[in-house]
Amino acid sequence: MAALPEGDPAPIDGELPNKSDLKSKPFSLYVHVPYCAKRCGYCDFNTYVPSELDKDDQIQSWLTSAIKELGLIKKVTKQDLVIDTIFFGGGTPSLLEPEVINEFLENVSRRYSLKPKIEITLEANPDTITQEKSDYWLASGVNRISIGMQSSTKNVLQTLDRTHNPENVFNSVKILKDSGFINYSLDLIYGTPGESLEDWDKTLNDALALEPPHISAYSLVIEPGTKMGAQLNRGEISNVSDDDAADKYSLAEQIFSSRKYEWYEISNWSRSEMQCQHNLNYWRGNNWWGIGPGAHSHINGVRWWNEKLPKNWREKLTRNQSPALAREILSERQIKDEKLMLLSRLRTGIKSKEVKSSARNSLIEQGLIFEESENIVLTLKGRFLADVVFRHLSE
Amino acid sequence: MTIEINPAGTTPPELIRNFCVIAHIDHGKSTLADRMLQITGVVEERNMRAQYLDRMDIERERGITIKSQAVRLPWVGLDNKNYILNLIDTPGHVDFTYEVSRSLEACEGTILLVDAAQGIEAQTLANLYLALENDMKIIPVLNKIDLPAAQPDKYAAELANIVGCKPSDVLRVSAKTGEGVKELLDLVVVEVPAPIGDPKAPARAMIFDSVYDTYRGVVTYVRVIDGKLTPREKIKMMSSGATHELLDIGVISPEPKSTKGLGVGEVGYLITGVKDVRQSRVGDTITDSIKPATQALAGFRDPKPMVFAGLFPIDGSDYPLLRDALDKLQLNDAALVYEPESSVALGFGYRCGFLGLLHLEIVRERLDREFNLSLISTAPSVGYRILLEDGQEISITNPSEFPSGKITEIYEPVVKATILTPSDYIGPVMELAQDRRGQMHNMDYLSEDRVEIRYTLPLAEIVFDFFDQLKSKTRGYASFDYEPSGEQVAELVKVDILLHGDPVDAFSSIVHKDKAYAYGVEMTGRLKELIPRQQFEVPIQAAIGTRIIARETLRAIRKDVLAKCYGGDISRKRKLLEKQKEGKKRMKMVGRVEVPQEAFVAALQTNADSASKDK
Repeated sequence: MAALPEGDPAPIDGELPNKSDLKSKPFSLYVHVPYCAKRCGYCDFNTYVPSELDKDDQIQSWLTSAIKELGLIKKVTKQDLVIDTIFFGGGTPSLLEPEVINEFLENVSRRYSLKPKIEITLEANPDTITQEKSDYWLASGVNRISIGMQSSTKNVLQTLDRTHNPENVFNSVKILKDSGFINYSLDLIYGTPGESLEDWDKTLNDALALEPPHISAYSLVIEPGTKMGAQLNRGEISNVSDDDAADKYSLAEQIFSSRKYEWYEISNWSRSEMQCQHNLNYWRGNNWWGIGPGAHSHINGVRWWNEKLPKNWREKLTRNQSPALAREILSERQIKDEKLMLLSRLRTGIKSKEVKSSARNSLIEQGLIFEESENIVLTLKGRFLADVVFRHLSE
Repeated sequence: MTIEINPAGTTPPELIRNFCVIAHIDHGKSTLADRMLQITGVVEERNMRAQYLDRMDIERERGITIKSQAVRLPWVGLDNKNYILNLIDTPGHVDFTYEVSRSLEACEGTILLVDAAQGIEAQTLANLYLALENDMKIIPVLNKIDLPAAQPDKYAAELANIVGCKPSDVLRVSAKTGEGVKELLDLVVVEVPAPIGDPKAPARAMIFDSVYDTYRGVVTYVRVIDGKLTPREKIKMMSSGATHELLDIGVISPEPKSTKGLGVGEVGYLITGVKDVRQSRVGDTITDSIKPATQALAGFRDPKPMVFAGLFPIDGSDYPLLRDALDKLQLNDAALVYEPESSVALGFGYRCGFLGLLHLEIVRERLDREFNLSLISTAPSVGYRILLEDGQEISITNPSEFPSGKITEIYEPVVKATILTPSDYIGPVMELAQDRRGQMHNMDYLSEDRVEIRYTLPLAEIVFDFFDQLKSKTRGYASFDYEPSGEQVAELVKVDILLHGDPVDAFSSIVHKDKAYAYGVEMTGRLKELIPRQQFEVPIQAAIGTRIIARETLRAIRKDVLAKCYGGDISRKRKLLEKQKEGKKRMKMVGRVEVPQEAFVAALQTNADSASKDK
């Protein structure tokens, strides 16, 4: 699992140095459900399979602690917040009993106001989506499902250690549509060792055949400490090639744009007005509270992250303490760097006047950005080289 | 109160025996010295520590002696007379042949000490030849006879064969247990001739070592040949004419002890207050400044650097520290020379000259250990003499000085090399020497299964990894020694490495024309692996003059972006980018190409490794 960043100690009561103006910016909830039936070979998220957890920390115990952390938000912020978006991520949130999700959401609306037409997303594994669950989710207020499709090629799914059948994705989408879901997204991964350009082309076309309003496509990163990382070390698989990834990104962009999907972030495309509001909040530097083991939060220039192990997370909450493990208070410089780093990834870009003209001109000359009214925006080449762009901008 | 017998300054020469020990690293010279200190009673049992005479940490850790010393040992001979034995320590490595020769010059006899489990090694043999040339009395001794693996009969026969005595004349000792050491000291009294000199003649003393001491300045070790040196007198260095006052004079036994002087045949130290060993040079003759001798002792020469390398601090801001460190090292190392050098790739550093490879290594290690400097060194090179078409002659020690105009002839330094190897490995050894343009002269069997092979080799071919190669091809059994032996005409070219058309100075190399292509392919290939892809295609070329002899292409980078950047990724991603930004600051620009300093370091450091893979 990816190591957490190093940070300063977090205060036991979760106290924040700056709680002002929490209502002037959108405030979101991220809800981490760290359980999986089986861990995928590439996964470096904070996830646990049942055999790794004590009986007190299995999925059944999650709700009690999650509701406690929900209560902590009000204790710390001391404000009546309006929740802008909610996102259940994982792990596999769709493994939770739908009643649990319902009860959690009821708790949220009992304590906080919800924005009208709030976006509530739930990540789902195609294997776990049933008509019954789907109906229940929608009735509970969930209105957006993000489906981990990854690929429609069997051998690629096998390399990734995904359990699902490509047909399950097709069935899942049908179930969701039958329930009345309008908004759903497909997550795709490209660059898996052994995946040909034809395989990727097939995946793209199969995904688009399902008419998703939103698609995310990520280049595979083989992280140390994962199963695939070990396979890489042993020489059983080869690493993701940057050239191959670049070719596949180009193909995706070409196919998506021909089908009227527009990129709004480097790895995200959507039909009009169907962008993920929750993720946009991250990129725009808005505030959010992450509930759950290992979840990250950001409020007014303070980032913190929770205890990773469900046991430690639960025990701190049981003692009425903040479950935070550590935090960092960002400097002005870091806030500015994050802004450049995150906003530059978006189609809306950065205000030209916030960027040094020398850097801007050099990047335009290199064909990495273009100017559009008051903003600078990544070109297609710039999307491949966004980190280069950032390093220039922040110099 | 004990009355000192034979106080220094008045010891009759017929009661003095000056001797040294020639031995290979690890053959037990320091342990033997320890035993002698104990048996003669100059160090009390409770003060004894291992390798008593080796001063520097590096010496003790690497088991080699860099700086020689002399220790005065009282010994009652078999004839019941009170003798003074002066044990003069000799440096044990190839690069210090000149220092060895001066130490030998200070003695009348030498103990040839050989490990009874390993037999004689090439360097020992080379030093033995030096001793034989000086007409010294040789006492062959086998050490470590207590080891289970010892083969004293076999190696006694080998030693007898080399020295020209009977196997039964070879003394067998164990420096570790002390067995045979008394007998050895008795033998020294009997076998080693007493020194001869004229006590009435103007004083002449030969400097055989010179050591810088933080508290006392330079400590000079001398052997008095004629006359006498006394405290407070004015002395003169005959090579430079410089005069100094003798602030202190004495003997080491084994701690320094001031005396009333040093007479004919005696060995001791003197202190004049000079702060730099270059003012008190090994081989020079010291005389009385008022009644000077007319003729200096023969054999003085300036140490001549043979191997050159650029030393650059990895952190550019350490440059002033490097300068200070070199200045300090030079106080104690007359052979070290250096001048500032700047490199596009490596920044500011010093071009340094060394006696040889070990000398280079020792200097680097001391800079690292004593001065805490992280350094990158360029591949070692040698000095060349070049005749230009216009009749001009130039000398260069750095590939960057290689002339671009027409060259008539290039002379490269050569060495006479001695290789000792088990006869099983003659084939691989000859192959290696031939690959390094060696010319074989002769081959002698030292014993049934060991041979001595003599070569003339270009110095440039051995400064790199010859010794490592020799060891790996002979499973560590071969040993090697060399001494400078003039120069020869050679067909050499300079190969430049170009990045996007711009030469990278640190990788230019002067090589034999037959090896230019291999060098070019090797370096371009290696750099392709080490240099990160740029936003444009970068040709990496090897060239002789304007002629390209090898090429690799670094294709343009197409992707440098992390796909995912969600809530939990932001801190990590920001830190990663901050790190990359830091890394960018350390990038060196070669033309338009950004090269991380680490790439240069890696390319230079892996030189030896990958060269050995090729063969």
